[in-house]
Amino acid sequence: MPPGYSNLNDPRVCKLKKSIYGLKQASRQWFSKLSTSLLHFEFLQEKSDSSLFIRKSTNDFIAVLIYVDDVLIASNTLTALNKVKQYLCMTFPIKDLGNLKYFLGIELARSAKGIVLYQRKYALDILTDTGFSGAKPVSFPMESTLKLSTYDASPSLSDLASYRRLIGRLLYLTLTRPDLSYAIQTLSQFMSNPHTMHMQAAERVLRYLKAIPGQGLLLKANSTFHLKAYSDSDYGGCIDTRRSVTEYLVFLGDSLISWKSKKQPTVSRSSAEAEY
Amino acid sequence: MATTSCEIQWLTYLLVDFHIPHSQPALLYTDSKLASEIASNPVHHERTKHIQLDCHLIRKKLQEGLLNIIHIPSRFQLADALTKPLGYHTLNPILGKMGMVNNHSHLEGGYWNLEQTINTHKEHIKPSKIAEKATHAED
Repeated sequence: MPPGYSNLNDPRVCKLKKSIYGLKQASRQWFSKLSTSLLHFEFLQEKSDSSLFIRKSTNDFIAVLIYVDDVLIASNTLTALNKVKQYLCMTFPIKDLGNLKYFLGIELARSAKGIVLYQRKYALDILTDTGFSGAKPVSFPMESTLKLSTYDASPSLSDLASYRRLIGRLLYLTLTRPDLSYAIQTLSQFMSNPHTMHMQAAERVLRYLKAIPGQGLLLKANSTFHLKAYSDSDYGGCIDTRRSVTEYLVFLGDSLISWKSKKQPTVSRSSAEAEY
Repeated sequence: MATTSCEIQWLTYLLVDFHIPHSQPALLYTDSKLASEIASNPVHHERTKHIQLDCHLIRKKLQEGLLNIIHIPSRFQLADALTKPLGYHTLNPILGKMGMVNNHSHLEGGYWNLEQTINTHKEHIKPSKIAEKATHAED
């Protein structure tokens, strides 16, 4: 029984006929409802990404990407796209927001050259909330001589939550900003016990953000479909644990589509081993 | 490299799902000559140490024709921007190659703004250098 309705003398309980809002299963039920209706419409759920649905026939191709109740539809023909919209409109009450401009904090700009993904609004929001919108801009996110350690001599921060909140928000920003990912990867190592030194480094990232908040990734329109990857590692890059930092960039043609900067889980015994 | 090849593998599956043919092997650039040679040479040398699971994974992927390892000089290594903190003059060309553009440059004053950023940076670095010298003097 829901809280407030319990009656100890009455042994009866309620049977739920519908998975309602607020239940643990609600999100799962919603996804299965949406996906079964898409599967009815001859879509195929892809194995590489379970929230991606694709329908392919001889002359049209439709891809549907789902994030909870936000749906992106992409197609090569407009008629096929409208059919999917009509179908979804019949099954669910939907709101058509037109061409894709803003999705999960990521803004999109289209031009003849390609599509630019950027998070200008998100970046400016962080700057306003931290009070850095009037800060002096700097041209790179982290000083190259800077070595940060957990056992820093500077005093611990009194407000730990503010540091954690800031790094958490910056982490989402790396979605369109590979230039920040090294700095934020390093700063997020100190989440458990941040010192003033770390906060200063984080503030520098903010001032870099202030210099170019609207920077984003260009996905070129006339690009080949060939995967290219760059891989590198920094042997013993973390001075506390002596673990190496590994990172990669993956390009599809000329557009950067995937990247990562991550501390390796094990200690490498040689620089060659660190590369693997 | 093992994490990279896993990512490449996943992306190839994704391309197959999108019905985009990707028949030729993906190119994996690394600036470590040693690592690329150990991976592409299947003969196990007696003096090659520290070779573990990850290396064998890459060898397997190489033999399957999923990827090709190519050695490039460090100055062309774009992944550098994610291994170490870089200054403005090294970071900026890399960002250009990554395809990063400043979308609102025309609103923020375009090229002039960029120059100004460098200048403000120069002003900024001076006090810190003086402070550095002061600490050295104390030592």
